[in-house]
Amino acid sequence: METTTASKKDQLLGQLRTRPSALSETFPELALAAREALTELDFPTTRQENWKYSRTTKLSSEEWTIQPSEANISLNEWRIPGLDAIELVWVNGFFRADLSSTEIPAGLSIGKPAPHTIRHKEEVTMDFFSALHEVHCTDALAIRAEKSKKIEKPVHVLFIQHGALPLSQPHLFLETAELAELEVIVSFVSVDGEKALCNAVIEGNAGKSSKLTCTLIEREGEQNALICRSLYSIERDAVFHIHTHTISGNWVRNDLHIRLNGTGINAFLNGIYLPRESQHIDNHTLVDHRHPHCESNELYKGVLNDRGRAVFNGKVYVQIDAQKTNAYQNNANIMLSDDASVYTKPELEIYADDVKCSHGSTTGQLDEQAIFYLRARGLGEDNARRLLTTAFILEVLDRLESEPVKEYVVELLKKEDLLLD
Amino acid sequence: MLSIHNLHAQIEQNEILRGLNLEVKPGEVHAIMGPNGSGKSTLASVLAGREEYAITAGEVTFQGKDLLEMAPEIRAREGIFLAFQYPVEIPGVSNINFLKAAVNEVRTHRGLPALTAKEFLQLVNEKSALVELDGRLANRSVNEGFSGGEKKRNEIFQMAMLEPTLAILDETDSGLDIDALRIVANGVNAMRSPQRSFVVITHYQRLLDYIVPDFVHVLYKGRIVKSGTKELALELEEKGYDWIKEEAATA
Ligand SMILES: Nc1ncnc2c1ncn2[C@@H]1O[C@H](COP(=O)(O)OP(=O)(O)OP(=O)(O)O)[C@@H](O)[C@H]1O
Ligand SMILES: [Mg+2]
Repeated sequence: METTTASKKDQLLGQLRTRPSALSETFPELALAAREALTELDFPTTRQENWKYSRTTKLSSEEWTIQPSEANISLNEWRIPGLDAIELVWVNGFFRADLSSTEIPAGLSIGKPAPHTIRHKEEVTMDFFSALHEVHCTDALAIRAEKSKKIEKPVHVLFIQHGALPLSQPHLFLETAELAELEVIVSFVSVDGEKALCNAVIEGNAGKSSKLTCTLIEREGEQNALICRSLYSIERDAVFHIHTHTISGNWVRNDLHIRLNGTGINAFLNGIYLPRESQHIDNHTLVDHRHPHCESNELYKGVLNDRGRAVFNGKVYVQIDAQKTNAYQNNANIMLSDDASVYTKPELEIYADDVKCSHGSTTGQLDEQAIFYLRARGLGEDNARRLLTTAFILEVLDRLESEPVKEYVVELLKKEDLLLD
Repeated sequence: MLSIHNLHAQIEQNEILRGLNLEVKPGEVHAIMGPNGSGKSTLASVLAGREEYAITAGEVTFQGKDLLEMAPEIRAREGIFLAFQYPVEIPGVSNINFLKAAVNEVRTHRGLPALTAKEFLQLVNEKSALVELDGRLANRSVNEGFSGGEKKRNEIFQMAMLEPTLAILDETDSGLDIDALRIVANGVNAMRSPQRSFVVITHYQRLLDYIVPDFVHVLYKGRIVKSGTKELALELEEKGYDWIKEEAATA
C-alpha cells in the first residue's frame, strides 16, 4: 500500500513540476514551506485523525493534469434566477475574464492578491492537498469591498470543471474592509466533464464591523471530487455568514476554519449535505473563539439515502480569554436507507469559564407517527416522507438571507427529487 | 357503510381486539365507551390503517370494499377520517400547506378538480370559523406549540376540510373545558348528514349531551360487550363499569 500511494504522489508531483503556482511569487515563503512539506506529506490515509472516515484512494488513483481551457461555455444553466450578480467565471481553475462580468461597481476591487493579504499560514501545510494547492495553485483572485462600502450586487464566482481529468486549484481571497458589506456566492459545477478534481481554497478576512456572507453551492459532476478549504479571519464586531450546500458530486470534502480575532463578532455556519447512491460528503468545521463576547451558531443537517456516506466533525474552541462566549452547534441527520452511514463528532474544547455553549447531534429516521398522521389525511407515503424531509432541510435553508439564492437551492433540490414540489 | 365482523388484532404478540363486531349505517352516530386500555384507540387505529397492528382474523368492509386491504391514504381518500386521541406535532410542516395537499389528493381520488388557491382559502376561512380556530394557527406548523384544546379543534377543522363519510373521533373531548367542548360538538353537529356517519370514542357522557348518539357501545377487553341507546351512557356515568365487567365475566 505505502509504496503504491507514494508512487502516485511522485507521479503527480513529477507531472506538475514545471507548472508555476499563481501564489508563489506573491507569497514566496509560504510556497517554500509548502514545497518542503510536500516532501513528507502524501495522500491522506484513514489512519490520520482528520481523514478517519474519508478514503482518498479514488483521488490518488487517477492521473490528473492541469488543463487551462478556452472552451466557450454557456452560463445560463448555472446562473441564479432573479439574482443580478457580478459573475467571475473560472474554467479548470483558471479565471476567464472573457466569460466574466466587466462592469465592477465602485467600492469593489477584483484583481491579483497583494503581498500583504492576510494568509492562513498554519493551514498551508495542514495536509497534502493544502500544500499541493499552494505549490501548484492554478489561479488566484482577490475580491475586496472597500472601507464603508456596501456592495449592492452579490458576486457570483463560478468554478467550472470541464473535460477529462482536470485538476483545478483555484484560490479566492475575500475581504471586507472596515464597515464594508459583501455577499459572495461560489458555485462548483461540471460542464461536459467526466472526472475532475477541484482542490480549491477560499481565504477570507472580514474587517472590523463589516459583514461578509459566503454561500457555497456545490453541484459537482457525478464522478467529480471536490476539496474546498474555507479559511476565515474575522475582526471585531463583524458579522459573518457561511452557507455550505453540497448538492451533488461523487466525493466532497469541505474544511471550514473560522478564527474570531476580536470581540463582538457574530458568526453563522449553516450546511446541508444529501449523499445518495455512493456519494461521500465530509464536512470538517472549526470555530476558534479567542476573544470575549462573540457568538457562533452552527447548524448542519444531512439527509442520507442509498449507500450515501457523510462525515461531520465540528470543532469549537473557546480560548481562555473568550469569556461570555455563546457557541451553539447542532448536527442532525436523517437516514432514509439502512445502507447509508454517517459519522458525526462534535468536539468542544472550552477553556473559559463564563460561557454558554451547547452542542447537539442526532441521527435518526423520519418520524413514523408523523408519516402515519399525514397518510391518514390522504397524503401518499412518498409525499409524506418528502414533506418531512423538506421541513427538515428548510430549517437550514431558511437561514439564507438572500431570497433568490434560497429559491435557487430549493429548486435544485426539487430537481434532484429531494424536496417536495 | 362500515361493517366489522369478528375482528382480531394484535400488537407485539398481545391480542388487543378479540372478536369485535360493529355495524354502522349511513347517518348514524355510534358512541364507544369503555375502561382505559380496553382497545378503543386500537380499533380506531386499525380502521385508519396503522401498520403496527397485525390483523389475525375478521373482516372490515367500508362502503362494500375490503377496508383492510387499503393503505392508510387510500382509506382517507375513500372517506375515512380519524381524529387522533393524541394529534402528532410535525415541526416545519405548515398546517395549511399540508392540508392543501391532502384536500387535493382526496378530491382527485373522488374525481373532483383540485381547488384553486382562492377556493382553498375560502374553505379554510369558512371551516376554521366553524370550530373558532384562530386563523393564525392554520399557518403554523402542524400542531406545534398548540394547546391541548387547539390540537383537538385542529382535528375537527381538518375533518371539516376533508369532508369524510365516516369520521372516527378518538376522545376528541378529553382535556376540553365546557366552552371548547361545545365548540367542537357544534362543529361535529354542523357536519351531520344522512350520508355521513360518526364513531365517537369517549369516556364522558357529557359529550353525548351535545353530540347525541344513535347507539352506545361498551368496549371491554377487545370486544363490544354491551350495546344500547343513549340511556346506556347515562347508566355508565352513574354506575361505572364494574357491573359490565361482572356481566362480561359471567357471560
Ligand atoms: N405498542 C404497544 N405494544 C403493546 N401493547 C400496546 C401497545 N399499544 C397499546 N397497547 C395495549 O393495548 C391495550 C389497548 O390500548 P388502547 O390504546 O387501544 O386502549 P383505549 O381503550 O384507547 O384506552 P384509553 O381509554 O386509555 O385511551 C392497552 O392494554 C395497551 O397497553
Ligand atoms: Mg384511547
